[in-house]
Amino acid sequence: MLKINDLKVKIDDGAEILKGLSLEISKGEIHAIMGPNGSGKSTTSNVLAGKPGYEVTNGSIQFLGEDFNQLTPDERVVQGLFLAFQYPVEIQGVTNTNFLRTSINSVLKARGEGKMSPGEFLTKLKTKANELGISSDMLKRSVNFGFSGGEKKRNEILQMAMLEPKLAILDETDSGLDIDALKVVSSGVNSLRSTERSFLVITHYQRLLNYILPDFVHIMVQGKIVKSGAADLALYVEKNGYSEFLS
Amino acid sequence: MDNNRLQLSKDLISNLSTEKNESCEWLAKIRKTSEKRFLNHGIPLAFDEEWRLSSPDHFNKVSLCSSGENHEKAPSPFEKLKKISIVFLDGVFSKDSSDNLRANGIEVTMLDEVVTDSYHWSKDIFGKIEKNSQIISKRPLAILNTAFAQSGVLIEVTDNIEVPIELKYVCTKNNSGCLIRNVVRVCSGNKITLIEHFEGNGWSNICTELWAEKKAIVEHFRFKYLSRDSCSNTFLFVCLQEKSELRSSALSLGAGHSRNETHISLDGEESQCSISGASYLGEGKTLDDDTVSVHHLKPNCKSRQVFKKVQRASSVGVFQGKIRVEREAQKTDGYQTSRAILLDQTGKFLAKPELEIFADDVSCSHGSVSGAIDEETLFYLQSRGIDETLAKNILILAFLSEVFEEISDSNIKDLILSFTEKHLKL
Ligand SMILES: Nc1ncnc2c1ncn2[C@@H]1O[C@H](COP(=O)(O)OP(=O)(O)OP(=O)(O)O)[C@@H](O)[C@H]1O
Ligand SMILES: [Mg+2]
Repeated sequence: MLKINDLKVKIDDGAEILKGLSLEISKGEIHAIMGPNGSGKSTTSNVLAGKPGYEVTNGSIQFLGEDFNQLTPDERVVQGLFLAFQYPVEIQGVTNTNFLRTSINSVLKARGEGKMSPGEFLTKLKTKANELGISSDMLKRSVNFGFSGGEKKRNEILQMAMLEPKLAILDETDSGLDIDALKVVSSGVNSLRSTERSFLVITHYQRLLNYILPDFVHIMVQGKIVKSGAADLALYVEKNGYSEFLS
Repeated sequence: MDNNRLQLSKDLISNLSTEKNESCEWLAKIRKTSEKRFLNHGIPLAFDEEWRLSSPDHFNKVSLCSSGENHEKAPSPFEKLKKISIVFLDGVFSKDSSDNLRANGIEVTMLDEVVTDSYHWSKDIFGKIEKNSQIISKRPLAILNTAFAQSGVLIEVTDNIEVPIELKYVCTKNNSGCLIRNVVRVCSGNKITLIEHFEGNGWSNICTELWAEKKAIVEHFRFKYLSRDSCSNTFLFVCLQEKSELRSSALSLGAGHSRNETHISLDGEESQCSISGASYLGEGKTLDDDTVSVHHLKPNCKSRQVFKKVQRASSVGVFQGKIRVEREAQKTDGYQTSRAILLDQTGKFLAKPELEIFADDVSCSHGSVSGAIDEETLFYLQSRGIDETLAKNILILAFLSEVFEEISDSNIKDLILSFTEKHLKL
């Protein structure tokens, strides 16, 4: 599904952040990336989502066989990518519900499918919001505006649940969640698991991986993956830290 | 005054006449003295303090040719609103296009109907608020209006009037134009909702004087939907008596050169005003200027100004906001904010906030910010599948809608919001 090959990325003012990243995710798999602060995890997710300000100097990103690097951020969503942000943005003056409606209808339109009927949309929204413990008041408020850290993260998962992506990247979605919210969010993710859908989970805490069991765990250090393994690799770094991976 | 300015001023009025209301002695007198006042002031020139940020050239080019032709009707946000419309076509009152002006609670007279020297309530107001406003900022083109207005309407509000009154000014052609003067008096304890609606083309200088008596409430909304070639200068002069209230808001979605001058005298204790405006004009070298002065004369008054502008390539947005607090006006609460989004690096926003405070127990604040659309926010929207154009328009609406929140008439607020949504193709 996703194939990143020897990817090197510079930020616009010159520094190289990703230094030869390779990663392959197949249909239905869950991959986790762990790594010290500043190792390039969020940069990876931003580059995958098409954020401006980065320059790919080497390598390629292929998503479902297509060269992803040529696509605008919204086109990537149409192809089936979703990024849950580490720091979701507040948008004053745009209600959560309108935002979601516009988002879904934009994607459906770009895919050449018909709009979702208002009734169908609202029913789906209510069901998903309920599952995630998001009140109807939060749906009426401006997107993320004045939301608590945990509420913002839950709102990201709501957007994911509404858009039903093929590949979802969760960038530290567990940070700032209390233990109950962590369970709610994890079960939200798990309910979307399918043989057709893949996840890339970025986290600092092995704890999350108790709830969302990964097929593979990768350790990222200084802009590349230095070790990959099964779920127990997360337990190993939790115990021993990253020191042995730092050169 | 230098000879050049005097000559230019004489040239400007050479085709105009004060003789419109000769049959009404008091009005003729006001017009004559105003003509002198105008020549004393002279027309505005680019180096005048009030015109540093926007050129007066277009506003000085009086063009009063009337064509009265049929024109293509523009879409209106107020189409479905229950209202009483008073329509001026190229400066001429159009009875055919207007509604029946007889309604409970208001008395409506056309300016050119004020004949004979018999008493008319407008005698005590006409030109007076305009003249007082000159103490705070010079506005010679408003004096021009007092002296030479061709037409206009005088509205006395003697009871609460539930339906909004719409003053609709239509200029049908490029070279058509109008000088219109309205006077509104809202008697004690009454309320009026006044909409000023600008449509079409041409040159216009339109001035409204508004006198609000004790505990009167005035809701005012100005909507501009003019062509790229238009030049529109508006004046709103308001005098607020004790415990009266003005809530004035505006939306400009089209104009070539637009300047809205507002002056409020808070002349009674505990009176308050909120003045706001949102604008997003068309492509090209447009000018969008809001020049506001608020004069606090009495204690315990409140004023609030909220302006938001979106500037496209090579367009200029101007906000000049003055708050003057006299020594007597203790416990004044004054607030002012102006913000602009620059969609392109060639767009400009120029702001000049001014505070002149002579009382010691006041709280006044002002702020002004401009900048591009926030990249992070734009990316967030795009990362949810919304394309760049749509995402920008969503953010423009979100930005402007803070001004819509200032509109207290919920019908008008909803209509303006949905009209703007359509305009932005949302
Ligand atoms: N726009 C930018 N300008 C300058 N430096 C940047 C920029 N974006 C990222 N960096 C730098 O790139 C490095 C990688 O940052 P990134 O956010 O990808 O780290 P991370 O692995 O997500 O860290 P964390 O675990 O703290 O979230 C950091 O040193 C960061 O300071
Ligand atoms: Mg990060």
